[in-house]
Amino acid sequence: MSSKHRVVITGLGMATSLGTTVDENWSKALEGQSGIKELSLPNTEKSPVRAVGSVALRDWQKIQAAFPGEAAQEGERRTLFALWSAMSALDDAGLTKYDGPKDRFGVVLAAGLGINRLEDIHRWTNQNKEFDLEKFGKEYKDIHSESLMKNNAHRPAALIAKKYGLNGYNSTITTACASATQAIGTAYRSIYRGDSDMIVSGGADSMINPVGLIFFVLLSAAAVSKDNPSEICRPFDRKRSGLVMGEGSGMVVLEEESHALKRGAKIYAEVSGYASTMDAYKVTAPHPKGIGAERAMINALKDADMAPDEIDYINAHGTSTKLNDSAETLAIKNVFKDHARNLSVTSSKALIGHLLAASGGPEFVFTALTVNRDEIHPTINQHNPDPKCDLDYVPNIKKSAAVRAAISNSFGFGGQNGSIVVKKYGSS
Amino acid sequence: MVNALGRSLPASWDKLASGKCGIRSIESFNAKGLNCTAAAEVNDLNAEELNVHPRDSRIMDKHAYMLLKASRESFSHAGLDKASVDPNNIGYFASMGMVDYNLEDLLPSVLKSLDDKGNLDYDKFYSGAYQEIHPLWPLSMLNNINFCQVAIDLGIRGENTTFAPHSDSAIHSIIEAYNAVLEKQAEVILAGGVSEKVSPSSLARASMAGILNSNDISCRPFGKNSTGTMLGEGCGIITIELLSHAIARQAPCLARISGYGSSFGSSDISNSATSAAISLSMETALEKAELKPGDIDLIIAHGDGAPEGDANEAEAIHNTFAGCLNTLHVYSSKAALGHLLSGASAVDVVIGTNILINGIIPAIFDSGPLEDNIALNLVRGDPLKADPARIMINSRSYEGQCASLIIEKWIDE
Repeated sequence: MSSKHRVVITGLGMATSLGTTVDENWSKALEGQSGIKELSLPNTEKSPVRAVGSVALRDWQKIQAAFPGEAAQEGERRTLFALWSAMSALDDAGLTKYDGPKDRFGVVLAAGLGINRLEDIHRWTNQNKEFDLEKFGKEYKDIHSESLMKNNAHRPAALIAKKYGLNGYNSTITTACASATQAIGTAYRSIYRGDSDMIVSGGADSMINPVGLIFFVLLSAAAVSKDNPSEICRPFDRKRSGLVMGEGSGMVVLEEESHALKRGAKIYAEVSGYASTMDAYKVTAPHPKGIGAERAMINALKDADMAPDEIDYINAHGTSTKLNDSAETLAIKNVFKDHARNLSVTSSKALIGHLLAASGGPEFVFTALTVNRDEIHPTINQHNPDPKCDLDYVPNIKKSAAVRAAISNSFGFGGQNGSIVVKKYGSS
Repeated sequence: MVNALGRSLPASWDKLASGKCGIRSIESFNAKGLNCTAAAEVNDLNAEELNVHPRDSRIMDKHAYMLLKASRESFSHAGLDKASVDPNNIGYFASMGMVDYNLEDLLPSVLKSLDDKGNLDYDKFYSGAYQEIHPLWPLSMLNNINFCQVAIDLGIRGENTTFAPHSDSAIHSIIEAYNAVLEKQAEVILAGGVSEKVSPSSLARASMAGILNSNDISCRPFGKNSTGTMLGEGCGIITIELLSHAIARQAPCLARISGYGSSFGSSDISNSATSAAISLSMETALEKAELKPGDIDLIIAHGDGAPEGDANEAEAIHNTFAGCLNTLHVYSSKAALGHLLSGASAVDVVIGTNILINGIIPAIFDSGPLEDNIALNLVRGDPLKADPARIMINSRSYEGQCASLIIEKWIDE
């Protein structure tokens, strides 16, 4: 390639069950405070899933108030979360009023899928208890605003670009739970090779809705325990029993280094490598030895031109499912060999739940802060050691330690994996 | 390539070049109650014919079969079935649509959730009625799952991603694949895109986006008083690798990728891409390829018959190619194949490659009178023996995302 550019992080934004600002999220994460609570949606008393990381009502109202036009027109959680985090990240990067050229200023997002509502299916059913296409043909325009039919995956990216006049590269990635990490990796590559100067990237998702609640129950991947909600998500713990859904968004502004320096932007850290792989194993389960995960980390390190022992921290995919956490641990051990014992490995999902397509967004924000501030949030709910998960997961209490560089992992249903390397800015 | 005119590259190319049209009344379901009753459907593609195990076909639908068929065709056309490329060095990038086709999948659980008065009772739903939904239904709602199934079928383990959900996404897949090959992140990459299945939900979605022609059963790119597009089904997949790698393994060299561009800009009226945004992606592609507008012989336009979008694209071509419009031919495949959404520009790249190889530009199917002020050199009536050397393929979404790609004739040196 003719030109290679360094890529730095100049803005962060997020909205999760822990709050709507990066500072609020970060300070609670360091304290080990969980945003996962008892489910409180109407009509869900009998739901097998009882614990969710939902965005607090007052925070949701604050987000709606920030985008009155979009709230009225879209009325959709995922899209408003996306707008909120994009606005926060742009504001943090000093770009909300940016009046420079925007032809090389893009948006690369991960957005979750919308799900149909039972009420809609019900009213399109005829007396013979069959799905009635004629009824559907007459009434489909009234379909719930959060269904895919009304709200395509690329709409959040378009709304952000339109609102801030970003005329550059604009795309949306849908690789299940790997989406946001692959989106940030794709954005990184676009800047690295010289196609873009700045990109807003990350993800937004919400599946905390009536059918969404049983989505992962059907796949036997959800935790359905009746224990204390904030203790159900326990990545790497022997008593882990499945994922707990969260919702919200996490976004960053990635920027070409000289562009950032020229405008005096504050730089959190540098993105130095990215890779994606596929398991090509089973669409229903990760490879038990984590071979795809292992190669994603190895190739990301190679892309960053870094040795494994230059990494101090891993923000794991750590879903709290039996299969993922042991396979990911094995993959880390295979990549890092003896150095694996020196690593701090934490899962943000115990704090904010699994944000699904968006999960790599807030987790990348946490990774950037870890590298920037030399503080590592704990993996909470670690009480029962699992012999298959025997790394330093920073159990229950935060740690202050020098973090030269970190990897954020995301692995999607189906077997698509992404790993991205973040290192201290200013290091060689 | 798979589309309504044929289920393989040779079959569909021959029919396209001889002026056939794939748009017909919808056969796969009764579309009478909907406001558009025709589409360019792909028929008779099934699990048995493709030798797919029933275990896998439970979560596959027509788009999965099209993706599998076209990916296998490209894989074998490139000789990868006989080559010894490490699966870890084979990548896969594709554009996928929204796959919420079978609304009735939720129906059994809805019926079992009804109370005595026939009202929906969520207590019943959560207490067990939800188990009437097939346990693998969630996977069929994830648009990356079938992509992963094809990767398993072909043994692909390298660099990958899936973009969604419209035509720009397929060019974005090819752009990322092209760069991953340049950066040596993979040795060989399959890239392209597949359409959604034409279904009540895809028609409803297109209708709500305001892009569907509900007046008649034709798609008329740049056509006078055209009111919208027709949906089509299909898939296009190309195999990309460095020239040196292709020569070393004696693979056929079909065309060269030389430039690309991406942009965003949406109109306040219909969310269509603006003329400025379309020009930006075309001009970025020219710059990247180090070409001047006059170097391009043919544009395969997005040209889908949606009035504002076509007007903006015509204006953008007028502006960007001012001074060389006489020598520039413009073609759109959508009059014959319908709009394949996430598969559209992928199929156009395959068509473009065939135009470069065969030296023949198909005619835009029966496009009728053109909108006023369209001074484009559209290929109409008969196919044109023109031997173009450089082709630009345009694509855009219905939200303002645009992407352009330039491919060039491969000349054996």
